[in-house]
Amino acid sequence: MTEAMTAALPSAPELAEIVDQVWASFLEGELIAVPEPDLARPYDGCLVAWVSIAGDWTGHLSVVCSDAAARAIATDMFQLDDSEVTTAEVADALGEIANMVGGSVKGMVGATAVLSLPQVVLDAAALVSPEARRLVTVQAHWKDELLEFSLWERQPGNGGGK
Amino acid sequence: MTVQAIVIDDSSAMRMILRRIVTKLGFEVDEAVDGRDALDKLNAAEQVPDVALIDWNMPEMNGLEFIQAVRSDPRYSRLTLLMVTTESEQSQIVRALAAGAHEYLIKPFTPDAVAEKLEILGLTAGV
Repeated sequence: MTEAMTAALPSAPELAEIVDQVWASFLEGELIAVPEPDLARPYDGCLVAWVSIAGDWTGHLSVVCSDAAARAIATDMFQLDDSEVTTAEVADALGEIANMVGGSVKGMVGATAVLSLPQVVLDAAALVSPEARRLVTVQAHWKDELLEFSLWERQPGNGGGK
Repeated sequence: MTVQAIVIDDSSAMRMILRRIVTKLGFEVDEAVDGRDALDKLNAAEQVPDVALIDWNMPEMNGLEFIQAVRSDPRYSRLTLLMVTTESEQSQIVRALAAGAHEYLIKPFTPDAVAEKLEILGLTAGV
């Protein structure tokens, strides 16, 4: 990867700013940034949503959070009570967050990049992304829950990453 | 006279958000899950809506394809097309406008930004 391409990818503060913009537009409550993300934290009980970006640069943007956080996102977006929101709506809401954050990242990467439709896995601990390495991670607390946003870069032969 | 909108997005969350915003602006709102669904609804409708708010990346028929289909059908010549999407590159905006979109709004957006775009398009429901 060239330096020019590296320069086009968001830094942690830039990724945090993108996330803040999405949050401010669609969700209630403040995001409180975690100064030093814990990259080894377990994903048990977490969901993960991601979009893939392909083109001159290839990678993923992932969003990991607890089921409670994902449900809170969905209740905010759908303006429903927690008891009313379905698993499909939770997945949709989290996927849309990944879509919007990933879309902003794609805008930085370049015009030839293509954004995939969002995908959501209900068990983040089971997800392994071979040939991808983590580039940038931001974590933030929201409504007493931890949210994690990561940018992954395709790296063939990396041997797998979490 | 009621101003009618159709929100076209494969994300139910985004359809809900846009429905809320546009309803508060006084519009009657219908929804479609992708371009194909939207075309089917237009074909079946007694009255063509005034504006379509269209996502770009959707399965079946994406937003650009929907715009191209609508623009090639004289029945829908009065339908105003507002692309609402994460695609933010200048080249994509040019593509959408060249295909026939009247305006372009990038996600994430605020309710005020939606209202402003609809006002630019001359679409107000008097609320």
